[in-house]
Amino acid sequence: MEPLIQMRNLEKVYEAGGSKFYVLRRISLDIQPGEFVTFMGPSGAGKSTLLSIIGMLDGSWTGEYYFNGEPVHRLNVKKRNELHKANIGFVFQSYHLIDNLTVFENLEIPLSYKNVPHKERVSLVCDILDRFNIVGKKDLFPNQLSGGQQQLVGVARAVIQSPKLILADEPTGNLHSAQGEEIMELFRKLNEAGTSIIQVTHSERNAAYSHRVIQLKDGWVVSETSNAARVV
Amino acid sequence: MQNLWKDITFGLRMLAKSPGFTAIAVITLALGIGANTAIFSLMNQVLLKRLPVKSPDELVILLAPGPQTGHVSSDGDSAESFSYPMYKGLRDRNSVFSGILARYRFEASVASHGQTDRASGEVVSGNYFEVLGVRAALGRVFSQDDDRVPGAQPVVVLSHSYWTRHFGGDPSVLNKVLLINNVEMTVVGVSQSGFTGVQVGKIPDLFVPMMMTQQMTQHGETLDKWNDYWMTLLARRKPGISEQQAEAGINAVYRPLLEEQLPQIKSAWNEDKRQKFLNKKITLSSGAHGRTIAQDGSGEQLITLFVMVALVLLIACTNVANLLLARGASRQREFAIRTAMGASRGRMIRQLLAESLLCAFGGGALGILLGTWLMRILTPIVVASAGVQGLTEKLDPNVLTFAIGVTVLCGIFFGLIPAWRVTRLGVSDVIKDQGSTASASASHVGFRKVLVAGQVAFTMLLLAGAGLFMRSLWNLRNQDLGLKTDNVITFSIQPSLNGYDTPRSIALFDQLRARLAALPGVRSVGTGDVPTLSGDDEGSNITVEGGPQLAEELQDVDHDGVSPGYFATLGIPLLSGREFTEADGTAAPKVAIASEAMVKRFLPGRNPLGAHFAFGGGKVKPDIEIVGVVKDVKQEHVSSAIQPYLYVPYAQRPKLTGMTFYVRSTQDPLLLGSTFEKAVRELDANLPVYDVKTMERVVEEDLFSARMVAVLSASFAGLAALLAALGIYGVLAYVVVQRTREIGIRMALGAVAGQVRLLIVKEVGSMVLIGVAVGLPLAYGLARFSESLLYGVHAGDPAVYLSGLGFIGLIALAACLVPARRATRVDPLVALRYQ
Ligand SMILES: Nc1ncnc2c1ncn2[C@@H]1O[C@H](COP(=O)(O)OP(=O)(O)OP(=O)(O)O)[C@@H](O)[C@H]1O
Ligand SMILES: [Mg+2]
Repeated sequence: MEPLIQMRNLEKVYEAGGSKFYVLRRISLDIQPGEFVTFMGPSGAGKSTLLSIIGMLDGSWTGEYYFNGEPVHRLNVKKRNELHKANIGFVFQSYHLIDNLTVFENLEIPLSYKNVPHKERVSLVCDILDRFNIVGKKDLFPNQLSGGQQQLVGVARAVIQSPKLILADEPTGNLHSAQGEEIMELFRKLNEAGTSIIQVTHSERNAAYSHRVIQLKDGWVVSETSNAARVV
Repeated sequence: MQNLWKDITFGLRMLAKSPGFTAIAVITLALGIGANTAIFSLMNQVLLKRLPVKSPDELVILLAPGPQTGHVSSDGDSAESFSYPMYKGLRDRNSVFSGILARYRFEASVASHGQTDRASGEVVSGNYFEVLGVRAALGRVFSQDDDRVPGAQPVVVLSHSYWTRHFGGDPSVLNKVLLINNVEMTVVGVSQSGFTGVQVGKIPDLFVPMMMTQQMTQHGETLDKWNDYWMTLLARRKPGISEQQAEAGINAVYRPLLEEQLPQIKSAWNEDKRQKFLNKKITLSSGAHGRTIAQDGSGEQLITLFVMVALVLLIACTNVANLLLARGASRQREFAIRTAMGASRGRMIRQLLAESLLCAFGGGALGILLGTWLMRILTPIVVASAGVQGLTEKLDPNVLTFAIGVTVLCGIFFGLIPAWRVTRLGVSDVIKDQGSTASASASHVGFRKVLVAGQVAFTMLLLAGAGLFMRSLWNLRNQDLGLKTDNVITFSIQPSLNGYDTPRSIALFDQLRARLAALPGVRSVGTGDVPTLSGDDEGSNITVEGGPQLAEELQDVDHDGVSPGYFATLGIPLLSGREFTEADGTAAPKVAIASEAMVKRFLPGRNPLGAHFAFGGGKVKPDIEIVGVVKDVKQEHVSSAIQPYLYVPYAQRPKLTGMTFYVRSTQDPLLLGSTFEKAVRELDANLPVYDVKTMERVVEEDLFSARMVAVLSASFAGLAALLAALGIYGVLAYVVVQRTREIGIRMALGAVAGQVRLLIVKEVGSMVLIGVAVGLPLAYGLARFSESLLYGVHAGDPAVYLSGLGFIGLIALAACLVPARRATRVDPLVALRYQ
């Protein structure tokens, strides 16, 4: 089967005041459809950077990157955006819900950018509210929710457009362990249902949910371990 | 005191720390305050300034609305005109006024040191100076003794400014003899400096006792006829007499005087009309400001302009308030810390107010400079073109007070609101809200949007006003005047002032026409005794043989005494019949040429040629034959409606005083230079030639006020639009910064550039829509108020409002261009990075 993500010698450099600073070095990776992968590593290792490159939010790098067989390194911005819109959902550490929109409206946003007709949108949002057990919260604003509930909405928003891949950057970083576990359980279910997931985390417990852990340090991939003792 | 000083120095330091903000705030305010100072200065001088006489508040102007018959002469409201017998009766019998003065303007031709000049004179009652409390700067002013014998008071008092202008302020002018309107008059005094008469904008050069009326004025004003209404009356209330008491008191003596006058009335009045006449009441209006020139619409114009310019200032202040809010939001942390350290809210508001007042004073000072500069440009234009005399470009204390008051008010208005809002948050709110002050500033943004919506509303109003006035001007410019103005130059002479009687005048005009026609470069010459397009008219009712029965007010026709070649020279097409020829002289059969409108009203369906009519009503014999018909011409003003008009040969006028000449040349008429002045001088060296101008200039002058209103209102609207654009831009730029994170999220969720831009456009859209919704009715209100200034366009003209809307849309789009671009450049990576 064709890998979902294929990277060859991907590099990212920041230039500051004439001197070059390498953030990612010769990254070569294959991630299969349906895989659940964890990036780990010390602060500043380049995890978030790699995630945003995978998510196509960041376009300035060198090397080769195929997504689902498409050569991302050869696509223009517009094509990249389309690819990203169609296939990838994001979950952020600090949720990044829009403050002045209700839960319902927040969930609607990705659909509105995909020109989903209104009727269909409403039914999709209702489905997801139901699935995530947050129907009662649909008219509340983010600041009326607990952190765990906000992240629940954050995940729901990433999932609503049924992406192939979910990218989560320290999704439980701001949560109590119980809340964090709830989110991780959610990821597991999503993954079992076929969605690929890449997460960044500092927590071994969270890493245990994934199939594979990739360690980064100073921009290099330093190790890859398959996770036999996966939490099931 | 100590605190105040600290506030000021700290304020200065804060302003110096953000020079960009300070500069924009000061310049914005300076533009607003400057424009206001200039317009207020004009308004103050024309409408608000009180007469520079003793206790002006005691003065009242007398008006007697109601039926009049006989000879009525007036330069505005004919209810202001009284006869001399009526004046004497009112003056001597009333007990509520300490004095009633009478005055009347006349044109003077003054010969002194071998040169003849035109001047404006006023015949005045003997008590004129005494009632006003104006003294002599030199010699004496008039007294009751100058009121005794008609024709036997050949004395003159010069106004101070005329004395300085024409006699270099030389005291030896006393007892000199001047030839005024061909009468030898002795200078007995010079009036107090600063006294400019009782009519705003029309400053008399010399004063002559009323007893000399017959000798001075041109239209046969008399001192003995009850039915000769001409003089205007001002009175001074006795101390302790209220305006109501005065009105009751004067009417108590007015009724018996009307009864005395009634037998003199020869017109065929029915009983109803006679009762109406006897029931006439005198009403008093304040004379503190003198007779205003508001009668000709200048008042409405100035008020309209003043409202517009005040709105510009309001928009400017709002902009500054907006800037201060943005700045305040970024200083919230500072205020929270200050609060934590024990500063009271009042203390902080004072601090912020100090800053905004400093800005205001900076703006005010610059604004006054700008205003003086604007006045230096505007004043001479108004003086030269609107014929309003005595306007000064100097700042008078009133204007200065106004400017300073406006400055302080601005400072408080645009300072207090932001100060109030910025200091409203508690410490915990800000400190807890760690990195971002999102929720706090969100409410500011809401308020700032309200301010911007207000700006849009006022801009809408100004744009609509400017649009209407420009449409009016455009309509006026494109009026078919009925005559050709190119290559025609005009000038006037008034030989009656130099003692010419009518036959001598006619001979002079004939001779002069022949001479002018013979000059090289002259194609043709025509003359008329009523100058075209200068606001003058002469009319009377006519009786047409076999004509239709018309209502009284429709029987009136304006007429002009013209020369052969008049129509050809002015390019007025002859529709049928013939022009006048030299054969249509004084002794020849009486003839006339009618305008189309005259034929339509008085000779409907008839062949006008050969029809007969007569001036006047009753049993007159219609002995004037219509020999030609010409196209309608705008006679009085470009803006006047077409009225029936009659032309007669000037040689057949019963009385002629002056004549206006029109010379059509082969090239630019200004090339003729002073050749015709020379021609006049060759005939009579003492005849002053005046009002020399091209016909194009005559039209321009007639359009002056329309042009002034259009140009000024357009400038104000432009300024407002600019300020509003700045305001919109400021808020949007802020909104983009504030919504960076949100925009980042949206982009991460798949929003493309167009969708992000739409977010920003929506922000503008809501402000603009609310602004326009409020602004449109306001605009319509102002337009209704100034409807009398509009021409060929009504207050609700949809095209004007639509273009206003379009313009606002453009401004808004222009203002959101940069912020929208900035929004699409938000890098979701950066926006979301620091989680
Ligand atoms: N705009 C930038 N300019 C220069 N250097 C940058 C920029 N953004 C990130 N970096 C650097 O790139 C490196 C990788 O950053 P990245 O955010 O990917 O780290 P991370 O592994 O996610 O760390 P953490 O666990 O703390 O989130 C860091 O050293 C950071 O300083
Ligand atoms: Mg990171």
